[in-house]
Amino acid sequence: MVELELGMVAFAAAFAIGISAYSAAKAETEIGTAALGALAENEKLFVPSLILMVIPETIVIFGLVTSILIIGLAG
Amino acid sequence: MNLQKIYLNNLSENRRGFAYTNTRVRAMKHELLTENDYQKLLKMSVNELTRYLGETTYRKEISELALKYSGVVLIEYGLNKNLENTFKKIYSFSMKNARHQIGLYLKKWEIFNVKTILRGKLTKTSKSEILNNLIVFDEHLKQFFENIVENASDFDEAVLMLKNEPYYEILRSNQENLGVLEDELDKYYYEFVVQESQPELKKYMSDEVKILNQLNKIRAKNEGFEDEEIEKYLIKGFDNNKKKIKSKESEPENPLSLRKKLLKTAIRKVHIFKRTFAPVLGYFLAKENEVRNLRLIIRGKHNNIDSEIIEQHLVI
Repeated sequence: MVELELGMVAFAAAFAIGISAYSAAKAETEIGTAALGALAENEKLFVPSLILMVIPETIVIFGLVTSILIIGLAG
Repeated sequence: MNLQKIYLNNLSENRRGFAYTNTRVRAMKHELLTENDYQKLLKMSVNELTRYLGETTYRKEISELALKYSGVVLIEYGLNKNLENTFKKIYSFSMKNARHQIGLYLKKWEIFNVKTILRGKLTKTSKSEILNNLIVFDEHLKQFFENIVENASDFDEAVLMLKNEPYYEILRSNQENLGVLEDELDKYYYEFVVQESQPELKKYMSDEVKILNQLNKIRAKNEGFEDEEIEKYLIKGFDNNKKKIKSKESEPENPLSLRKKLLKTAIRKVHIFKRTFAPVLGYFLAKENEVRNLRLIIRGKHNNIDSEIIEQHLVI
């Protein structure tokens, strides 16, 4: 029974990081292609494009923190 | 379940390739002339206009053609060449479904080129003049049209050289009357595009057709045509029961104001953040409108027309 609970905790933690990483990847696909388009026309947009590319990464950090919390709370 | 899957697959497939194309086109929009630029241009002479445009995005084309031409002709050909280069550039960097939709829209210019060649051949215009008025986005197509211009000695021969095109039957059966032939080619284009276009393009085409029909009705009535006869020249196949585009209620139904309204609404689509054809369509219309405005200013200035009258006809 303990093994099942442990499995559930591990699954919940994996789910939290997995979903957030997938969402960030989807967002970065669109932002990346759009940023390339903008950069092809105007090189001065490099810094704003880079900042926009990094923003979805925060979603992964939220996911990582959530999964650590799940593991921590489960003890 | 299967239907849902097919629908979702189609949806994602239809939206591919738009993020890159749309953003790049949106960045290009900043190079277009602004309202302030037009105010400056309206105060300039033809020579000043040439110099001013030589410092904008038209620089490359104007300096290339400046060795052969000058004055109004130089700017006219420069504008054509610039429009052609813009279409080529966007078509070359567009991807997947965005490319398909752009190709559909640019079919309009293929029809325009056929009309230009036939008109040129009928009026015995020089080869170089016809070639400078062509706007071709595709290299193969360019060679094909250049071959017709170079080798066809008259109108009939030019029509014969287009025998492998899907619109050849229209050309062959309306050879006697160029006006009817051009109308039939327009009908062919709208019917062709409407089959495969995305809702944004379809909606714009439908609005454009309504205005074209209105214009044709007014012109035909002025010429004294009967209603039944007018019906023959109208473009059908678009739902006319939907809400009509109207200018402000206080204004009388004026084709120019309707056209201005249609263009202004469509140009604003450049700023729509969706994975659809709308931003590219908006940019194309904005660019075509800029070229049309510049041509109006230059022709107007050349013929000493008052700046106020020119301004009334501009869509800014």
